[in-house]
Amino acid sequence: MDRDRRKLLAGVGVGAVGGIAGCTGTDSPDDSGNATTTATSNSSKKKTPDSDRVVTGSELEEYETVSFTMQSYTKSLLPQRYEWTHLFHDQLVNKLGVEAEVQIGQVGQIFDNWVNVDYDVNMAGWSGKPSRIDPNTFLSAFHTDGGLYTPNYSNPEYDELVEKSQRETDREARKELVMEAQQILAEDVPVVFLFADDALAATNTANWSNYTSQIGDQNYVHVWNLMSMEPQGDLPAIKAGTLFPATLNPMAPTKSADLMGLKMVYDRLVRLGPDGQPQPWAATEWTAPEPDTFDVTLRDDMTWHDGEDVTPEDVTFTIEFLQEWGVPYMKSFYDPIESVEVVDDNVVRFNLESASASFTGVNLALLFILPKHVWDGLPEDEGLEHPKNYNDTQYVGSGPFTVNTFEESNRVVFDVYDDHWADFNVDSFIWKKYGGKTQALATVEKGDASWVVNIQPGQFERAKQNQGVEANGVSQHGWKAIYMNNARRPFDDKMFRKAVAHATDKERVIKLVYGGRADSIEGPIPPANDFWHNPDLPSYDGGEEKARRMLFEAGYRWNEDGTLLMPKE
Amino acid sequence: MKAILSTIQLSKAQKIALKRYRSSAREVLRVFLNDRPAMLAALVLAFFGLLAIFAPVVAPYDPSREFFAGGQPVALQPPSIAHPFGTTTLARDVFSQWIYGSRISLLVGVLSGLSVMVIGTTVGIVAGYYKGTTDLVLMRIVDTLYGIPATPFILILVLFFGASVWNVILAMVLILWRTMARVIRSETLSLAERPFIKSARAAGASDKRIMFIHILPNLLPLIMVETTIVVAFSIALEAGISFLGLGATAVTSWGAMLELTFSSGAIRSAWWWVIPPGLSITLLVLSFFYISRIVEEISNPESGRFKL
Amino acid sequence: MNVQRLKYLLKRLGLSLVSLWLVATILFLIFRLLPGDPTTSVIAPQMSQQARQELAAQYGLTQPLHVQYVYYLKNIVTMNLGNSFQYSSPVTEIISGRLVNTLVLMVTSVTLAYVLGVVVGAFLAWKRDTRIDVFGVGIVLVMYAAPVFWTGMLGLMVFSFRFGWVPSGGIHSVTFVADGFWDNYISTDFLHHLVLPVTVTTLYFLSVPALTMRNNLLDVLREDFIEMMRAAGLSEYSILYRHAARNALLPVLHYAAVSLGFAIGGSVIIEKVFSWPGLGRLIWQATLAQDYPLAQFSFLMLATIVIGLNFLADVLSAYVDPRVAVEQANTGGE
Repeated sequence: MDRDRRKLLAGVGVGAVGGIAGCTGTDSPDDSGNATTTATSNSSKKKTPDSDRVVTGSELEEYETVSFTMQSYTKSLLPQRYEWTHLFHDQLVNKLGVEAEVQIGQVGQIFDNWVNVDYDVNMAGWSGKPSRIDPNTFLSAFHTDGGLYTPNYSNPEYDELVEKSQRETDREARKELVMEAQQILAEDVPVVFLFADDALAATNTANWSNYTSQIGDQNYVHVWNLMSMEPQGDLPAIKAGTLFPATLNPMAPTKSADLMGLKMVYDRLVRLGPDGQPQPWAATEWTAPEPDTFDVTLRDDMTWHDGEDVTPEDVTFTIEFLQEWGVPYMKSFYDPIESVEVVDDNVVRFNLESASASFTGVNLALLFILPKHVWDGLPEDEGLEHPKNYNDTQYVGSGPFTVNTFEESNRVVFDVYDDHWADFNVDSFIWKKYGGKTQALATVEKGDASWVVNIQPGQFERAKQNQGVEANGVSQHGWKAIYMNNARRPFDDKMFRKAVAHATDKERVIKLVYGGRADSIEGPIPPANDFWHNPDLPSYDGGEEKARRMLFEAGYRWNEDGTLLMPKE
Repeated sequence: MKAILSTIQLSKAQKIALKRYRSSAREVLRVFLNDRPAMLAALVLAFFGLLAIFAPVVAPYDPSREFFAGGQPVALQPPSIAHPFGTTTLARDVFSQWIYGSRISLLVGVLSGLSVMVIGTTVGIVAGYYKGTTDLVLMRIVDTLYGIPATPFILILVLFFGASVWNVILAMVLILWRTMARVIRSETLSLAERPFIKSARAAGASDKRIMFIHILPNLLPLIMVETTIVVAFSIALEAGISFLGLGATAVTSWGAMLELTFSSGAIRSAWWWVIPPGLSITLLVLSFFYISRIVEEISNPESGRFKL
Repeated sequence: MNVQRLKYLLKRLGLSLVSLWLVATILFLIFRLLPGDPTTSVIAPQMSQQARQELAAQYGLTQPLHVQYVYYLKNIVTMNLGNSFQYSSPVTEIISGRLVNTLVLMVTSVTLAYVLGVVVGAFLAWKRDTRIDVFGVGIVLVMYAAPVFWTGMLGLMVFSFRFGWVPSGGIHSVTFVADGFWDNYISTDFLHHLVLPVTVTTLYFLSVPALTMRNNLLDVLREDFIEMMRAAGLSEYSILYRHAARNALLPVLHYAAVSLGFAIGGSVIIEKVFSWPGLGRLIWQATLAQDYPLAQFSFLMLATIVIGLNFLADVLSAYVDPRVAVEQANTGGE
């Protein structure tokens, strides 16, 4: 049925005249011979199977068609993912003969389905936030119940390794465990690991110099860059982009852009450095007297933007306030904290529910410090249901910037807070929202903005040609994968998943969609994350032949039309 | 047909028109041939019509096939002999996409035009003929539709039903029939007062018969003019919806091509990719305008003007 | 006469309000039936199922549909439109800022289009049946047939990306600081951003008044009193601009209101091309993000404007041509 519908769509406009399937040959001399006719507008063609692999007649009774839906996002939201979804779809149809249909949906549906594991196949991706340099997030994502979004994959051996690595505070010993965990994933193929596309950015070097890029998404919205940047004259630092914070209320963040804006105004105890490693910030040092206890020493020269001193009580208050009211987006960062107390003049003790190797690199690096004298009792005084509804226009933080103007969906002007201990060459930082990357890049080229990140390969090549603009492309540690529901047939079969991996031609897609600028991966820790990456994983590049042979050996067959069949349960 | 036509009593203008129909197709053809813009318009329509029908034959490649040379994609290349309109960012042939795109535009235009014609005419005649409460209710609906901004409405409906050609057409028809209904109704109101209708009623003809045998044929020229305009409008609107990223997802359309040039930043250099689809939409829409005018002129020779 | 006119206008007003209520109801139904969990857009991955439900309750999404509907109508009447899902700020606040931006662009374009269009239309009528007329009408039609987003793209391609004469979008430069509210809209910085969008949309909207003016003039020129003037030996020019134009102009002008409504409805597409932070763009973004309150009320705002302008057109036509009011008031139709 699904297939018919697709055909119907594909044949749109044909009317009585005739089908459009099978138009044009794949034997054109232009083609490299690597000719997969990918077809978003044509019915994809299946291969004629070898005769000994075909079942006919009454034998067909024992088999059922392998059919599934592949979910992905709209073109306007994620143009590249939209394209590669269709490319991979066509590869699987062509090479394996599966009956697959692409389902494009709004972020609400598709993302939700991913979180709730309500899919056959879901095209997913993880962005390379600096806090994900620590291997914990990505490894936990495949833990039976410890992680989020696990595709119904469960392997007790793997779970144990991840738990151990999370407790292990010795870096080298932990590395061993992390390597082993990756090995298991590569063997089990819970998802088809695809690639880690490079972070592509352009910076204007005519009007600004000395940028500091951060590992991962190659973000420039961080203190290290704003401290090092040197403008011509008194130009502010200007970010041009399409992401934009929806709120600067520290109790209301719901997306990463919100956190990026908030961290300018609200200090963190620890900030991740350009290399992703935790650096002292509001905390001068931290120690772990026990694996589940952290003592953090606070700087003593910090003040809130309204002039009050920053005290250890502010830190304890913040954690308690967060836990009392709940900020879903930050939940995983404050949840593991069992209690927090002031143990010395300037020392705050965090008692965790269990030992955590990633506490400083993830939790402390993401939690803000809020002023107790502003927020304590505020919801009650203002009659608010939740402090997230507070229309704060003061934005009293202790961070290096204060908010000068916040124009929704347009721009934020941050001014340097003069009493902050950190030094900046710029006087202010402007975050400007553009309608598209094209416009943002044009502004950077013109010298009206300092940088733009996350541009497409075509735009990147263009930026490279430009004088006074530097185009930077670096490998990063976020990644994309074909998520298969391990609890549904035929994805519950490891052999089938492996065959899918073999049939997936990543290199071709990397060339087409990313202009060659992506690392192919076999596990959740890409090469860019040098220390934790396991370079010795098995790769699945057997191609169509191997995939089909594996399927045959595992009991799969084809019908005469070339459609893949699996034995009935 | 002749039998039906002969039972109709005609206004002066329509008599002239009908005389022309009758006197032979040659006469109509003469009016037509004397109107160079209309001739050109017909040629353009025929061209795109043939292009759409024979797309698989005419198109040199599969519109969604990627081209590689030396293992590298042939992306965003200016026109060449192999690719007369160059290639896209995904190394696809713009020329072939352009050819296939004509299908969507014509399909959407024609289907939406016909559906609007059927709904609009029916509602218009019924409202104009029965008057009273029926009229009031139907025109209230039409009035309400006039209060709805078309593009955002289609945008939301398409999001609701899912992005596909069919849903775009459906959403467009749901809102576009309003003008047709209003125009047809007011013409019906005046027709219904004519002596020949009154006498038909007196002769005991059923309402249905009066509406569809006596009134409808007199509306034909008007219906044709209005339908052509709706077709033109629908084509433009579909392009706009596709440009918002919500049109046909499974097929190439001109609006979607333009969306991609815009969102990928190719408009900064790839004129070869931007011009063909936009120009084609313009030509197609323009042709329908001219066709509507010639229909108007043939049915009402003194007019010679455009309705917009 | 005046009583009848008043009666007519009151009736139109009543009907407009009914339309508005119907649109609001349709809108409510569409949005509540939309698939997808509306809480997702405000919820990050880390949020638990329970937290999700709490949020849904906070937004009243767990109430039965009819209860939601009553709240909805009450909220519209009291202009208490709640908070946007994405931005924690009130919907009214977000919409009003965007509305001004849309109005500035569209009112400017439509005004220019009508002024220019009337002149062009009169000129074409004067040159009727000449080659100039044929080509003139052709050009006007081309501008109407060309998708406005495409001409906008061509404009950007040439004047912004190629020559760098105008910005590629938005309404202000990055570092622009307004000196008071009005400075936002009269500063040279704003005008610099306005010039391309206004030019493109004006050329697009110009067709309707130009052709209507031409058509009306041709009608008027055929009327008896013009024949008499001609017979009296008045020059063609003087007949056209002193007498005929005046008679043809008024009907054209009351279309202006309808056109403005049309333009504002079409702002979705135009504003996307020029990254214009207006209501149309807001609807597009809010709908994509499933920000129900925001999308719903921006749509309702657009519909209110369109209905209001249609009503204004009725008022104008009642004044321009009193027969309308009398006839309508008597027959009960429209």
